[in-house]
Amino acid sequence: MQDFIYTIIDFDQRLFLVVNSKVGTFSIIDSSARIIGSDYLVPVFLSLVLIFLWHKESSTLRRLKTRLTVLKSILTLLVACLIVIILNQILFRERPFNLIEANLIFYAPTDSSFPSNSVAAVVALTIPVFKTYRKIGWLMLSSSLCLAFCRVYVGIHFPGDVLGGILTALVSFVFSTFLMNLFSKQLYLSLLIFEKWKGLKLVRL
Amino acid sequence: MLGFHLDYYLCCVIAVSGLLFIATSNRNSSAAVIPYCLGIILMLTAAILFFSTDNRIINDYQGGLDANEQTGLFALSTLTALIIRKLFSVGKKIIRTNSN
Repeated sequence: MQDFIYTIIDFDQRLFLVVNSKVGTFSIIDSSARIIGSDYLVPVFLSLVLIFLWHKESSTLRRLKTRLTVLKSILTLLVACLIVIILNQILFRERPFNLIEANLIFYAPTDSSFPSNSVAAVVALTIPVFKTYRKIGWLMLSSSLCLAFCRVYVGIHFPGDVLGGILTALVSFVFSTFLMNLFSKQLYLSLLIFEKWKGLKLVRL
Repeated sequence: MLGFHLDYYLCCVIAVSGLLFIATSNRNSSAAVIPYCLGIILMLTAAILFFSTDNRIINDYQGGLDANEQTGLFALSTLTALIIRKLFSVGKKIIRTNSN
């Protein structure tokens, strides 16, 4: 079993080196990877998509459906963050630039490398939308995967960390689906109150 | 520009304002191209403004934003953009009423 784990870790490091060794070839790709892999571009873009979905529909019934999807995305994100916090208490994996000779073109994070927190967060926001709205879902998924790739490229995550982040998001999606089904009536009621209550007119389009 | 937190907040306000232009047009099933273009331009401007004015690839303890700050500022900027949108609509209504 231990040999098997070492083989996987070795493969992970080799895969990281293949991706990370391309750093420095084209400066424009490096700059783009730094921006896409940053903590701001993709998360803000995905949040904007969720705001768009929240305001998108004109009929009440469709609006309720979309808003439930948005709420599910937010819940999945929260559960994913919780899982990452718990996992970080149990295990700590060094960053690639601390373990092997990596080309670091990003700031040097100090927290655990596994699982990738940012990838878990963006994929968690994506999965519920992807399940309901394929076109928008593909857009979100491609930007999330771009972020995942760029985090490896800039030298702050191993591919295994990214995979761990995606798995964390999938687990949190299952958990949040269970929670949403458990409280579906209450959620519908809350959304209806939000829709009809005049006091909340300011936050409606 | 004005400090990391304020820059992030202002750029988010611009980006969300752009998005609200698109969302409103989409909701009214409007075929007008101008709101869509304006929305996209605003969102792109926000991103370019944010990343081109300073080094944004910094750790949260070196002046960047941590996840909680990001969430709080983004929520605040969304609310600000909604208020601006409302004021914009009210202003438009007043101008129309006065012109009739």
